[in-house]
Amino acid sequence: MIDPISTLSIHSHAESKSSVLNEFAPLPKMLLTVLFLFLTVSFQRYDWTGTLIFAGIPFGLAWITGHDAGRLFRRTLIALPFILCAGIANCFFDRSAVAMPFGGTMPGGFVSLFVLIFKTLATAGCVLLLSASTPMNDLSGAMASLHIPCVLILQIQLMFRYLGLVMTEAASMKTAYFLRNPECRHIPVQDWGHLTGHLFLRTVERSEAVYRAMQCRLFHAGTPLPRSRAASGPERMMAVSTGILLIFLRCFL
Amino acid sequence: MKVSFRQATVERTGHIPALNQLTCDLEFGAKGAIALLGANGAGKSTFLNAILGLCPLKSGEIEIDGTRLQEIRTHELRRRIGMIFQNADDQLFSQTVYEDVAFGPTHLQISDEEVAERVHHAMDVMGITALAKRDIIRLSGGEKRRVSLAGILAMQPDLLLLDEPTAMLDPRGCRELSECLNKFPAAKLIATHDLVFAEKLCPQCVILKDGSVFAEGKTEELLKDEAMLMECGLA
Repeated sequence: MIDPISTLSIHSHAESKSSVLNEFAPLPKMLLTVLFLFLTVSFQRYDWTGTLIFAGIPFGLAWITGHDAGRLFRRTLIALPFILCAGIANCFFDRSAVAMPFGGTMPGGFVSLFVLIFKTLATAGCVLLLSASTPMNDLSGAMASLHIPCVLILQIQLMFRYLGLVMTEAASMKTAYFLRNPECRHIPVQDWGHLTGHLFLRTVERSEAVYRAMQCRLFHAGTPLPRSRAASGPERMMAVSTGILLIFLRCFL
Repeated sequence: MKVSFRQATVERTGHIPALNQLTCDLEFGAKGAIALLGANGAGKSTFLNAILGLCPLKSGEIEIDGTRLQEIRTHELRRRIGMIFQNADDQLFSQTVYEDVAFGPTHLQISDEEVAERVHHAMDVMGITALAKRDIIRLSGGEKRRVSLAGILAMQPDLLLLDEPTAMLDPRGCRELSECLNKFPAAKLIATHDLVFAEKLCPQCVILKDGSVFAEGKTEELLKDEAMLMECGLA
């Protein structure tokens, strides 16, 4: 079962945990995430064993560090419909036989669809785990220390806030809709258009109010970016060894 | 601090005047409080927004301590005057309580130590120290109000503008809010149609009707005038 919108807040629940992952310095955590994403997408389209193992890494890590791996998994499922739309055609057009390790063959289209799904689980899971364990300010600080342009970081910060508004407004619109349609189980397609338009107008209005509140507290485009905590020696060692381990896994899977 | 409106006019979309040739002088003591009363649509929120330069004047002028608004640097204006929005959700946009309270001070070009000191002091005064690491979305209405106040308190303004501060608060929330406001070390301009709340906190008041000043004077006396309150939609 996919989470209802109201529970899909992009705000992290980092504050409620004090796990090893939460305490880890943001910069190496972010760099490891980028490395992981890069390695995951580098798998070939029929390489299902490698992608399957990589898909398990974020959830395994979440479980080990005391995060709710089940919840993380349910959140990644949101991306699944898009991937199915993108990859379903493979099943019809790619008829080449791919040998399976347990004997026999499978149509290449199915294998590549599964690879796509595993890659999505791995990448979305990893990014969601990063956001669940690192406050946005720390991520911004980490990006600033990599000399990523300030304008880009501000855009990401504002986008993050806007997404939060969209989630909140979508949740209240959905609740209002179903309260007045108690027999309705799903929003009919013919209502999607005006609901989306209405959501856009509502979020624009609210985002203007939020922006005014930010201005009142002296926000401006040249605003200083937050600084994130520098990584300690052991954290650097840990990050480097994890990176090497990931590369090693990628090379030998 | 003194805030003066001189024939100020602000228009909403569609050329509907929100403030209509409004003239008034508000003089605040160090911790003085003035209530801005009026029915819905009387122009209270626009009045507050105009002081902070958040909505453009079509004509007229606003002066802060005798200086025209246009001549005051925006940074300086917003450092000196803080605002609490009607909807606390619009005011709180950071991830955690601590981050939100620290948002203003980090833009004041002060040291990290001073930011931390101000944030801790503000949270302490507002009684929200225990919520420091809590996600903003997991706060109750009353807690959100106190976090909003702490965020402004940390900026140490001279004047605090409050737009319908009791909206969406239960009686207990209102009581806690008035206690917090009593502790707030700045002058206050409170836009509200909660007459009990206004009478409790503000010895002086200004009543708006259709974007103009309808009456001003001592709150206690004005609120006794039933006929006048009926006429301006407050009773």
